[in-house]
Amino acid sequence: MIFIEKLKENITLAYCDNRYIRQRLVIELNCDLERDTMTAVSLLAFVLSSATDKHRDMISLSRYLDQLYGASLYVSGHRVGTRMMLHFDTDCVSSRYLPDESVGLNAVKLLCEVLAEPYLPDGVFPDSTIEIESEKLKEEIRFLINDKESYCTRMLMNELFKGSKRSLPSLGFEEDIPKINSLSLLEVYKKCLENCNVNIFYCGDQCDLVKQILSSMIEEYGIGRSPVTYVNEPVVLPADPFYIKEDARTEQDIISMVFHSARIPDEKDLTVLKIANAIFGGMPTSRLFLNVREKQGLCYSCVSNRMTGGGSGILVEASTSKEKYEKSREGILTEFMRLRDDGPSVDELENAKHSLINSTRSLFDTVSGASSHYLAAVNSLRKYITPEEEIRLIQNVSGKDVQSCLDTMQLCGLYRLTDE
Amino acid sequence: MSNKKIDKIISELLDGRYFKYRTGNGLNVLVYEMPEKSSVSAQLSIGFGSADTKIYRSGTPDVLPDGTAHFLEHKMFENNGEDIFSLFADIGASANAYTTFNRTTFVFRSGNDEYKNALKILLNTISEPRFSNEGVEKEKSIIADEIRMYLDDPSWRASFGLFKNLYHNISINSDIAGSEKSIKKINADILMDCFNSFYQPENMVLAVCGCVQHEEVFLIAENYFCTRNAEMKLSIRSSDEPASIIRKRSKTDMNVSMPLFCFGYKERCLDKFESMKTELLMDIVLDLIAGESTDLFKDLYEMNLINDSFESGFYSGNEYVCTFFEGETPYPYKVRDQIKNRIQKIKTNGFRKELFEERARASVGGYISLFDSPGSVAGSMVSCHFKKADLYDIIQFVNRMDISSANDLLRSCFLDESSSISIVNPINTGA
Repeated sequence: MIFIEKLKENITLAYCDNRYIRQRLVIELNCDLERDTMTAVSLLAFVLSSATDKHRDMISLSRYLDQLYGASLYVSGHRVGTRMMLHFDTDCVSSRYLPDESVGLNAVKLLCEVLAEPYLPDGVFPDSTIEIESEKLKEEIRFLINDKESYCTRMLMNELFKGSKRSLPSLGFEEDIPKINSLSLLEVYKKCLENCNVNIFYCGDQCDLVKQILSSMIEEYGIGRSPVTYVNEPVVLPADPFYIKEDARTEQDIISMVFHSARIPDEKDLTVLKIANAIFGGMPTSRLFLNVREKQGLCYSCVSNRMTGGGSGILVEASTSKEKYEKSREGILTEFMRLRDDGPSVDELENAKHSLINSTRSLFDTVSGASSHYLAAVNSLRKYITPEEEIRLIQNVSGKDVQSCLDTMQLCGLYRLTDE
Repeated sequence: MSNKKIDKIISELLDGRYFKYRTGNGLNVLVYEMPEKSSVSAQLSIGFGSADTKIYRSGTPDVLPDGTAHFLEHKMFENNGEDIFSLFADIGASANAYTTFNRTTFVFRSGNDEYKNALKILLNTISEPRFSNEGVEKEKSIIADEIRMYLDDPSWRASFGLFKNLYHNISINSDIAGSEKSIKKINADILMDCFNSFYQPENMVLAVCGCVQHEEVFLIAENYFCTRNAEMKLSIRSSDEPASIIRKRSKTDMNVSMPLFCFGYKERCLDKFESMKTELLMDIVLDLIAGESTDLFKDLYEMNLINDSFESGFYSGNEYVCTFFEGETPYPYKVRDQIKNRIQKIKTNGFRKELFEERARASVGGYISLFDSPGSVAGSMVSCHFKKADLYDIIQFVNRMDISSANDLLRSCFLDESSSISIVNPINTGA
């Protein structure tokens, strides 16, 4: 059970009953996405996680995490749809299972320090830290090519949303990194803290105390003083599907293709999309798995995922040999059209519902599942749907709903990595 | 069942309990009851992995083509031309399987109401193969695609490059799925032979975790593997792996942003790794050499020689122990040299006591955390079974570790002449 409380108009704290062995605190700052500052926001995450005012280097910080029985600390800064998000989380064993009762609270305090009390000798971020972490950010931006499937999908998205904020790279631009200095980074940091909407999730032993700590931090550092207004960018899809081939010297052909609709989904639409995706390519008994992989033997990996940012859609990722590329592409298209035109069978629909209901229930078996469920809902729908509500929505989906959902989608594009 | 012994193991610290039982047919069953959970995770694991490439009958062993264990894993999910996944889907459950160097594991996750049916499907599937010659031939093309998929993964290529550098005769020097050439040699007879040899209940463990009753699981498990009485013919340790390594370095080119490396040691202290305790200690030793709290990590990071991808680990099995350090770097040989120098220095001076204690404390936290998820508990029970340890022993082992054992282990491992590096270098494709 998740309880939701507004600490301010734009700051929400969600907490859940403490029945887990681990405790978890997540703080997400949702900021405006600006082309010129997004790279600095990404860099901020690297810099903030390297030291705090109390723990002034990475060894001190890491050793403190060890002392907290291996607590984790994770900070990232990246684009989410048309926003930039600074994400902070920490995870540790609940104090109930440890000889030291202060561990949970100390982990919470540490995350607050990372967010609000960075190491600022002379009032700015140290040049040496910026230099080191800039190199890491550069490497991470370049690293995309190493994971061929992610790279292929990223290139597909760039083309699909060309000209919109959604086509901006998730971590910013390599060419912008040298322009960032200690002063400009501090300005971006202050702006992020002040101009943001905040979602917080906590599950642990000391809700009241943690709420006090968070409220004091928010007050003292003016976090979220100016709320951000979300503006939905209109989604403009390509009039005709695009087909792009890139010579990436891969051992096999890697394909990403997208079926998309400009319609902004509500919670019912999202539920139907979940089921449509499960039947099409999201489960080991989906049509892509059983027909394209198992029956026709066209590719080992052929799966689909739902897309909910900038309209709604289904993304297919597959890899196959160069010789089987054409047949694989045809096979995927055929399965999509068959499901759209004929709808799912009664068994397919019931099995998909049953599976999704079980998955929804089991999300709350772990504290990370509970936090992901909450944050995914508030990030995509801007409101929380309880598992019970979600299960009711799933139960009400019909085969016609699945067909109507797919009917709104069109094949928008295909990106292919190959070896020429 | 009532006449047989059920062991109940309790942890006061975790307020948890699990049960051990051996069915009349020799299947080892472990059940962890978590009444508060909404799902059930189960793993059925067989002590047959990609490194097991010999069947001993008498005298000279029969040598299996590389990739046989993985191929059999794929085909166990065939049900006379149909797919077992559909049976799980019919009850809202999901199933999967994977092969490692040492084991083949079949898993399912289900809701609380469906777990008994899901368990019956799993046990029924693994107790009798239902694949056809045609199915085996058709699978070759799918597995060939899978092999090529891994060839596009630079970390995988770097790791297997190291294994190829270190091992002459042990099959961890081959891809778990084999090669396109080796899988051509696999046929239904070979798979059936392996099934009869390795898929014996004595060589398996079933771990079930979640909102379950242990008696119900044991009753179900009693009904399977009744007809299995073939003599078990396990792959045993071969004596033909020399202590030497093959080469000190190797390189391959791929479309990557910067070089990736995997630097490691072919360890000789195999006997020590037969116990879970040594494995846990090695985790700590590696963290004390190269973890984020170490001077080595900080120096390499600040010199821009590594990034967050840098990590250490080890693989161990009947015939091998391989420790490694891997990541991305512009200068792989500089990183290798720094690691070697640092190990030498620690061997001379020993670990610092306060760092050892902090790291051991972090390990305790890590192991307690495992108990939050039915899936990770089931996986840990399986690992412990194959190491002949009890699940709760892990925390006791870590609590009792001492710095002198860590120093001893360090000094008996990481020998310079047994080290090698595998590098994946970028090619310029314009991509």
